[in-house]
Amino acid sequence: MKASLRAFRALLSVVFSDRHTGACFIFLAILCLACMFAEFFAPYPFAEQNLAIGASAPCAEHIFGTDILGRDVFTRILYGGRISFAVGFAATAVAVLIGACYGMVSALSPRRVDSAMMRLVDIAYALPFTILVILLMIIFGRSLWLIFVAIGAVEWLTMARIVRGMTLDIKSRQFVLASEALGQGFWGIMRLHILPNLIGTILVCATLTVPSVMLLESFLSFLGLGVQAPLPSWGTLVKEGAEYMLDAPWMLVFPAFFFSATLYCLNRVGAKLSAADLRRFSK
Amino acid sequence: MFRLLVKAVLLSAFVAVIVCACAPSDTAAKRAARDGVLLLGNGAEPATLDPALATGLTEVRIIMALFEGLVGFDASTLKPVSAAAENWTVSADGKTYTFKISPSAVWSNGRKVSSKDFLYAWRRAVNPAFGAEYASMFLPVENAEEILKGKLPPDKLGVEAPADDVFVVRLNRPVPYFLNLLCCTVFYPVPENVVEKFGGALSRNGKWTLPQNMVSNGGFTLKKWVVGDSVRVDRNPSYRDAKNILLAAIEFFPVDNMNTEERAFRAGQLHMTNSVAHSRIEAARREGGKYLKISPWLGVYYYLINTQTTPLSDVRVRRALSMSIDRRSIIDNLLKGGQKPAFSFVPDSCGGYKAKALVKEDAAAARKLLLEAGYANPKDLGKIRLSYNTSELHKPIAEAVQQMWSSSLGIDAELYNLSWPAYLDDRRNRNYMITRASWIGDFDAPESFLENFLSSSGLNHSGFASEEFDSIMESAGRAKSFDERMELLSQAEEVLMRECPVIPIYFYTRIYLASPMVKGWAENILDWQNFKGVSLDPDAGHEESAQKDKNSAQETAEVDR
Amino acid sequence: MIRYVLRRIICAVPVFFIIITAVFFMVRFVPGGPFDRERQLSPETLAALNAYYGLDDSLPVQYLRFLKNLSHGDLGPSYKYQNRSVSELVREKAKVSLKLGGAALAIALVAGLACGAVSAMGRGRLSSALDAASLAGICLPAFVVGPVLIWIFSLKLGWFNAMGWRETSDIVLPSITLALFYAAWISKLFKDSEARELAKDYSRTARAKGESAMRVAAEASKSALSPVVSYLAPAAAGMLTGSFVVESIFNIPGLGKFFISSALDSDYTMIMGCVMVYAAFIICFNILADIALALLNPRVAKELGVRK
Repeated sequence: MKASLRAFRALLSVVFSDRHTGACFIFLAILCLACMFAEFFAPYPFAEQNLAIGASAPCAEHIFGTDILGRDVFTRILYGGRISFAVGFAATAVAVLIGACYGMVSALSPRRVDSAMMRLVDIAYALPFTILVILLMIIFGRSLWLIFVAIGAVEWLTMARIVRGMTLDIKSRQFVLASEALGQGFWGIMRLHILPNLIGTILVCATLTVPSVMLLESFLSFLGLGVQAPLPSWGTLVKEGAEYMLDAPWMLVFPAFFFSATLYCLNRVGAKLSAADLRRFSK
Repeated sequence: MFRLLVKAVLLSAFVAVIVCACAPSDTAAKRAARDGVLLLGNGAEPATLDPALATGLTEVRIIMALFEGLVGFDASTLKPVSAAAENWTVSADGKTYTFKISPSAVWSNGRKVSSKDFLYAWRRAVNPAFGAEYASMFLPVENAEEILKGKLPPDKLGVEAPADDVFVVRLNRPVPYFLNLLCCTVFYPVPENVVEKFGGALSRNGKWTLPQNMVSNGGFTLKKWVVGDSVRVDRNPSYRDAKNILLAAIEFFPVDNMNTEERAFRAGQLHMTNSVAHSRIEAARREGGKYLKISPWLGVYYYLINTQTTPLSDVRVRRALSMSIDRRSIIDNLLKGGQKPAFSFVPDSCGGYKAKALVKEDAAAARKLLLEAGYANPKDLGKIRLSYNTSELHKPIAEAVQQMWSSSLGIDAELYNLSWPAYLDDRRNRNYMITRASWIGDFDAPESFLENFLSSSGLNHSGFASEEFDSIMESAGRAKSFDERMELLSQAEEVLMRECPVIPIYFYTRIYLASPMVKGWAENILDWQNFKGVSLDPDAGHEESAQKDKNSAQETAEVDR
Repeated sequence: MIRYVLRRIICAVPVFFIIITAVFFMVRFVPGGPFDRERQLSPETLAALNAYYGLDDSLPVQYLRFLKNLSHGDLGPSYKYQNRSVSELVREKAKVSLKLGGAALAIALVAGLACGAVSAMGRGRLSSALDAASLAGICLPAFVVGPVLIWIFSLKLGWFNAMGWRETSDIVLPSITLALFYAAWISKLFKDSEARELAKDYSRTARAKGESAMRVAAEASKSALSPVVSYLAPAAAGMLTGSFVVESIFNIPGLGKFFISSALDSDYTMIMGCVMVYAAFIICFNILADIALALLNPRVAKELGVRK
């Protein structure tokens, strides 16, 4: 308990070491909370329609305007954030974790095992995603966790390849060979050389995967998997907004802003953390 | 270094603007209009150009330019007119049609169109081994049913060619709309020698429909077909009615993305679009209707009910659901394309039919019906699942309907989004409660709509079966006069709407953009075109004024706000 | 080297085989069939169609026939586009997608690496501006970027066509739209690892010894390129086989649309055609990527068995 508290405090001190990153962190925190407790913060129920006003521009009652069914865009962004945060973070975390471990194990294994593991990745790449999702839905029915499985099924592959390539490169570098010669064991090398060199890239990949995953979720709902209407998600909000971008730009601009701002802040915080990690590990 | 970069970029942008400002400004549409080439957005890539195999409007449009059947149609009234047959006689019992083939009807390779071509084409289309999707259109023809079931060989079809220019058709029963039916592409002739040469009569993958092989008998001949790019047809100088073909060529572009299509239209790459995204209708309307065209279309958008699930097996529940939808509001606030609210299943004026308002929108009466059905508390109905396939419009309509049911009846509907194959599968296996559906008439007669609900119809997915309905439909088939037939059909529809296996929502309209350059375009409720009398005037404004109009439209919009 | 490539190619054969077998059986379990329509066919017609295409045989029989035809290079007719064979369609479409994807790949590589290198070496505003730009590239999906580009450069300025694939200039907007996302990934990946390498002792020592910044950067990038190379393999395969969204926005007759539409139409033969092209690309590019890794670091070459 105490240890984790200390870790948390250390994390905060890193994040707040410059103002910009601190602001990003606060933005993320507030957004996360607001989405989690959307019932409390949202001015309207997410499905409440007003067909007569249709897509109307931002005004005092609807600060971000309304969509074609006259639903409050601000409310829908908050509710949509729930599923998108969950999918964005959890699915990404799982995909990245699996990918990173797989890649590392593959690179550190004997050549034959490495080759076999990578051919498996090739196969998984080539399976058509649309059909995979439709089949998964037949077998498991439609459920929320299936979204994570479906997204995980594609997103870990690139991660695995990147991590494996880097690990291969690092483990054959002079300094690693030298420290091996000096009697450093497997775990020591992992801790001292491989992980610190990987962590930055893994974090970059993770932050870049988040928006792709959020958009992928809207493709899944195209196939019938994912949140069911009238519940929104950021992916579907952006996609629908794009349809109306000329006539009701607020339907695209606001969801897209939150979408991009989240990624920007995430990236900023991630970069800061990875830099801090690097220092701690290498010194 | 950074400054230098910025300077370089700015300079090159400046140069580019100057260069482009001086570039020639004629658009593709204008150049094409000068050459008499109509550039037409045509929805999707045609799956086939074989008249017997065509299923969608995408294919039908092109095929109607390439071929003509025994009977043609007037493009504004859809009345049957002479085509490959110059005239015809009907026997007194209404069961035998004798067509006289026009002496001037020739194939594009110079051969005369003969009754043998029809004999060949019809036997081919009705052959069960060929598997033509629309073979069931032949059902009124003598022996067709047995042939389709494989009990008789195709040459037993009730058709004859006693002479090269005489074609006789015998029907099982009088079919008042038979001549309308003959306009469908499945009845068109195909050039026997060419079909045989490139794959044979029963090959669905025959290469005879490729540009280098195709021989046709219509106003145009197939010039080019590049998948994903376009299909081009050129004027057929040997066509019997060539004087009415004013276009030099038509190019059909397969653009399935409606926004792409509109942008291409605005950029002057198309004379006409196939449709307009509903998000863009309002903007097009603000231009003062200069490009936007809306015309009624013979189709109905409806919700299909599975009448064999509880609580929907109770007709009162079904009717309550139907009565509590505000169709006007959906049309005015969501669709915005001039659609008509559907209070019946058959569109008004379909083949001269007078539609009655058979659904009354009345939330209070709907609640009373639910009460009578024993659902004092609407929550006892449980969750009612409303499924739809993924598409731009189905979702907002379903969301609106869900809200209407919830606010006026207190019913809890659950929306269920399905991919296309899953949607079709669920529907066929009757694995749904309520599902989105639509029906576009094949020919201009109410039967095209009502026959789906015969208990024998394979298209009847609702589980609805009524002896009363079946027998009225049967007597309508035997009706002596037009009025009697219409009266009986109307009675049949009343039975249908009383039993309520469907909730009609709206009747379709065709919504498209057309350049003022296009002259003589006729609209009809099937959106069939023979391109006769259509011409292009390159000097009628299109894109320059489009730009101007758009700017002024934006200004007025801003003022409005 | 040649032996390594040969070994990989031999290894690719069973991989390819597993993929097509898996997909062949997978598609048969998707609900519905190639002849499902909203307007349902009569059972007789359906039976005739199934018989015509040999879909009424048992699955193993169909599979064996598929393999037999495949050995003659025949993928059969498309179920949807009836008068075209799948090989013909795939060949035609792949040509378009290769051109578009090739251009996009070049843009993504040049823009991504340049952007990444500048932001890794530079400091302050330029660096963070480029960084933000690449983030924007990731956040802005193609279905937003494409229409905006068309709106500006086609409708407002009239420089390019709004759709189509006929003139040489038709490649510009779609390839930029397609490249943006990948360029952003490449830039971020490269920047991150290049900055890390530049901060390492060997780079600092080299610089202290008076080596030019460029040479130090070049030396560092040998290691820094590794994640980019690994990323490029699937990215290049993705770009070269076309993208559904970009092709739909610009109405380009490429292969990308078929990946989705053939699956939704249950056009079995077409699905197999698409999957085979994609699998071939993935396998080839992964071999190329491994060779590139080996070239960047001779020891990796040893590790992989490229050189003994």
